[in-house]
Amino acid sequence: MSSNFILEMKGIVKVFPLAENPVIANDHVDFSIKKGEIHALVGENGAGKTTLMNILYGMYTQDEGTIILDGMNINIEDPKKAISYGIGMVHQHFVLIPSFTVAENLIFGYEPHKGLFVDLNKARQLASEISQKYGLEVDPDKKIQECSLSTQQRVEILKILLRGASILIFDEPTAVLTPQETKELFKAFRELAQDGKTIIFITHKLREVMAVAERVTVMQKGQVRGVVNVKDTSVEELARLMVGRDVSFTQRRVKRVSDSDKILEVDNLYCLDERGLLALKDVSFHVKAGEILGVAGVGGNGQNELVECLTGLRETINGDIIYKGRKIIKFSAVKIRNLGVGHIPGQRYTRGICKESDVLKNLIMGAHKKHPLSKSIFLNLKQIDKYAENLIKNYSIKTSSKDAPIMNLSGGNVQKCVVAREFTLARDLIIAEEPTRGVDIGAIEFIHTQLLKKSEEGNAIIMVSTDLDEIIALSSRIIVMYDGCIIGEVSPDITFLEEKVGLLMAGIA
Amino acid sequence: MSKELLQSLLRLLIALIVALIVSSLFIIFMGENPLIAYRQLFKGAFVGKANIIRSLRWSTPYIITGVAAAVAFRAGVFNIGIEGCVYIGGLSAALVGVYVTGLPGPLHVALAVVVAMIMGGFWLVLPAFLRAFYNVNEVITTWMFSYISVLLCQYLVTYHFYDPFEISQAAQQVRTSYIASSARLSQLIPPFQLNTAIFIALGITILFFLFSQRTTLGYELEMTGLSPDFAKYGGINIAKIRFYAIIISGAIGAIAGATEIMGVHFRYIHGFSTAIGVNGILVALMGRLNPITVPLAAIFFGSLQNGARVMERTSNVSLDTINIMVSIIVMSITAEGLYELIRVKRKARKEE
Repeated sequence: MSSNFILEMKGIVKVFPLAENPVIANDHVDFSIKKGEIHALVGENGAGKTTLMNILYGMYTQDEGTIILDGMNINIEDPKKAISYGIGMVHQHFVLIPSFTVAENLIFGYEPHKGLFVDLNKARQLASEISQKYGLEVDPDKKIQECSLSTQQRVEILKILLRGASILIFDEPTAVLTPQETKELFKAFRELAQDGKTIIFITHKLREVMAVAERVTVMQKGQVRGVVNVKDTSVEELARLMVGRDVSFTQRRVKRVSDSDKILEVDNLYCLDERGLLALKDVSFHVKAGEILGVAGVGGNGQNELVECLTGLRETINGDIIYKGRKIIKFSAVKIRNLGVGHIPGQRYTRGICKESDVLKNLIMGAHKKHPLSKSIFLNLKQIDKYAENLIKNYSIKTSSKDAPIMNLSGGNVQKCVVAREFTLARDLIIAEEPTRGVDIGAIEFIHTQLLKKSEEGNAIIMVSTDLDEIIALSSRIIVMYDGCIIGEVSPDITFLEEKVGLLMAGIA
Repeated sequence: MSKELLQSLLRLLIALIVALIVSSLFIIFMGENPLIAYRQLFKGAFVGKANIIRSLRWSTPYIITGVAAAVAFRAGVFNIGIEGCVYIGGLSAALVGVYVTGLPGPLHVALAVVVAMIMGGFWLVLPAFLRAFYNVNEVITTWMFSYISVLLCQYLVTYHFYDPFEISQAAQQVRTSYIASSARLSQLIPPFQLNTAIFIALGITILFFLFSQRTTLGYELEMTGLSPDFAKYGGINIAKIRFYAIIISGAIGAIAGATEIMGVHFRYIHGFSTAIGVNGILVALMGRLNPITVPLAAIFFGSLQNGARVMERTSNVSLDTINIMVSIIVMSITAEGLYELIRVKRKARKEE
């Protein structure tokens, strides 16, 4: 059996020892691939698949475990070592130089010389040869910034092939491709495999797995849940392996909401991302008072852009957003905030807090201009002190003093500051992004309790989270985002909830 | 005294000692005795009635320009065109002093200061607007505008506002007539040049303190400078804050020019500002933009400069070596702030 495997990773353990929340990213993981195989690595956010591949690619070193390549035990200290072993990675975000040509990018770091000068002709020649060999057509003289994303991806692939890669790792390769380009990529996979190359690709899109992969490894919470042959399995089984929880230890805590006002209505929303591609495609949903709407989905499917549109930080190109009966789609971030929309941002340390400042100054943002914290242009320092002390007490924020630098606090307590501030300012609508990411267990409990309290008080809450446990525990309703659309809505009371959500997250409606 | 403050002061002291040690290498290289030189420096700055008064006189404009720079820098906008505003302020005050008549003393002075402020702020409207609303780099625009200002003032005085009784085409002699006595600031201890401008500087310091610690605008300005994303997302109009920060900074810088004219030279004269505005930037950075430590840094810097002058006269250390020494001291003190910056950035990265 072992002779079939070109690469075996055995007993891989990788722990990230963060102060309050040590993460076991890889928990005794076994991963093997056969020569010339197309192997998919599947799992939700935080499953550990990226960490595993980063170990293979030399970005991290494993804490325990061995890597055996062609029967030999190897140590991969850095990416250059990985390449020398024939392991190459095509990243999700390309590492190309936009103003250089394709040929120049291909030879970057390994330039062929003609005396003192770089031999560009040789570069061009190499580029042509290799692109023709694998059917990955590129124009060697075109500048990268003028190439389409799928062409750029081809250049990335050619780059690692030129360096001698025989094992190619792809991280979410179809994120930037059209369906047609995806088909072409898979065709390239098959041709590379036929030539004896081995392909590993990380994805959360189960249809793609069924379309092109031969075997699949499914990971969840740092462990391998299953390794199956594609022809012997189904999307349902894969989804179950991907998100299935052993025991329903995630207690459901929400009561059903029936009749109340729609606080927020989103109709046919479209917007673009930084690259000019559609990030939101015809998104429509609503939230009622007292509801917690869980927005589930693998990261990068439009959730960030959705929140930015709702909070006025991103321009939309079509559609409507109606808050308490008012169209707010053209409103600025300032205006929306002043209407009482609370927002716990995903970027905790750039938007959520001012990291160079102290706890007090962080807690009063937004409330500082209003009575009783200020009177005309002057701040009422005594009231401010009282306000801060109240928040610190009510939200159990552990800090040496209210004047302590906020970065002295643990991650969980920093988040509690954000939650304290936003929950106090918000009227009727709270948008919470990853509210408990990187937070210790005690604080998670606390923040969840506060969220529930707010919803019981009649606020509408939109909770965007890639943590399925959190979604299942707290949501009154669940919508799942996939590829910029709301691919489906689920009530948390159904049977086989995890499987259904898992399928939706993987793109299967 | 809090633990952090104590640690900060300790690091400052170490920075100063390191600077003195490094500079002494230069002094030794020049063949002089650093200990003697430093003794002269210290004496020149702080010992003796004449030296102390002169140190204070030189600190006064630095307090004002230091606050001017600090206001802008706190908002995250780097107005380095304060020198230009000093000139504009100086000329405006001179013109009010010469051509406005019939006003009693305090009123005349107040008018000159107000006009100087308005002109100083107005001068930076274009760079302020471009930065606030179009993100045009203010370092370049404000710096360039200060060149324009100096030359513009030169032109105006050479061809339009010259002293008709002392006409001279020589560039070094460009000046206006003397301002009326009602526009002059009282001399505190003649024959020294220390005048009531020091009270104006004190007043500006107090206002800066109140503004940054006690007003909503001061809070918003600080947040905009420390974390624009956080401020914007928290509901602050950061474009407006940045615009007004540059304007106010220019207005305050202009006061420094006005007080130099009204308290020392009594007329606009070419070269009246020996890098007052530029050094204000240094002072603001040394004082970490803080309303209590910026004036202290200004006094330190003014005294250092005065001591250096004395040191040059009474020791064999050349002026260039002295300048090197002053530069090293300023750099060490400013660089000490890097420690805190790196610490915060490193922690933030770890948490992400």
